[in-house]
Amino acid sequence: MSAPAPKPATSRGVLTMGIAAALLSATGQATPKTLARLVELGLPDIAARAILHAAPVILIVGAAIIGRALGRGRSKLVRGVIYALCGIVAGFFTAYCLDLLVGVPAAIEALNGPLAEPDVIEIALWTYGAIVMSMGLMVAVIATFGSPGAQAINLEDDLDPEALDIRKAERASFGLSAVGLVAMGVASMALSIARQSADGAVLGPCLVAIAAGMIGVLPSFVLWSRLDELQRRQVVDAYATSAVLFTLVAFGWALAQALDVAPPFDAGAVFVGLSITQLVATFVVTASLAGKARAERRPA
Amino acid sequence: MKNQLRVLRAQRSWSQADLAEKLNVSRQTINAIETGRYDPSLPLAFTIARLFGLTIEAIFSPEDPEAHD
Repeated sequence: MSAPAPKPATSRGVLTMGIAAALLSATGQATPKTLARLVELGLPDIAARAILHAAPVILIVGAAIIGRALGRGRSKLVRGVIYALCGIVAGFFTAYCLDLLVGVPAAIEALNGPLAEPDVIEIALWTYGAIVMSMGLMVAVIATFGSPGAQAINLEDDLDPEALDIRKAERASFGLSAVGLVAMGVASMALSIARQSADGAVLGPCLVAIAAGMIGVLPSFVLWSRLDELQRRQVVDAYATSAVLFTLVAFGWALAQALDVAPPFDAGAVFVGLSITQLVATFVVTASLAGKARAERRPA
Repeated sequence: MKNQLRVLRAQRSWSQADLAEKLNVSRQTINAIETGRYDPSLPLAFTIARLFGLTIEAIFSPEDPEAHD
């Protein structure tokens, strides 16, 4: 006799995202232009600032709820694209409301001297660094709290309880993965700082980038030895897919460079281009496998 | 490839994580095999068969039976 199927678990991702958005908003400062416009409309300064701090939280939580509603019943790939589009819209309007992490550039400049304005490659390095650091922090939540952690960060309506069964050994792997992701994020940002620094101040961020890069790569070797056959195949498939995608990216960039609308594709661009392509490829590979599973479960 | 893994696991009241631990693979791999999106390697198929005390053919069968001939 088989046991009855356990009830799906409820996710708490929207609540967690709301808390994270509120914390992020607290690090920000109202953008001068938007603040001036609201004051011109007759709002008191304090009310305008309060609106600009509250709006990103509402936008981010709203984007998560809308993304979840639009993605319901669709494949993992489509759901991922919907969440990404909702996130881009929320991010765009958040940037319109607030300058986030206002103390960070000043702290970096106090440590390392003035930084040049970032070019497109450096913006990509910062963006990639922020994305992988955020991913690392989410993985760290699972490593630290196990199943409740997975439940807390998942946005899906109902979760398969089997997927929430995270054992101690898995948590150790999640912990290693989190360390690797956060370190790679630091390495990417330090590389950007090195590129943006004055000639005499390049060594410090380079050393940070090297140390973080080494810390970021080491867990990959340990994790590879712990991966099973499916996980190894997914890694290999993701790298194979990245090679194809990156060839297309490099071709497009070369055309844009020939047309004088893109800067030269230097080593920093290769690093960040490959890294971002690999993130996308990993998502596509895992999502396409999940899509195949859905198709095979569907009745004829 | 079709398989009886979910049924065999349910008969023993094992969770996917329980079975994963017994086979020394991840829970995701068990889920992928059960949902038909991953066909295990021959060594893993033998390990699965040995665990359930069955032959590989009793657990795994081709989608198209004619392809078996």
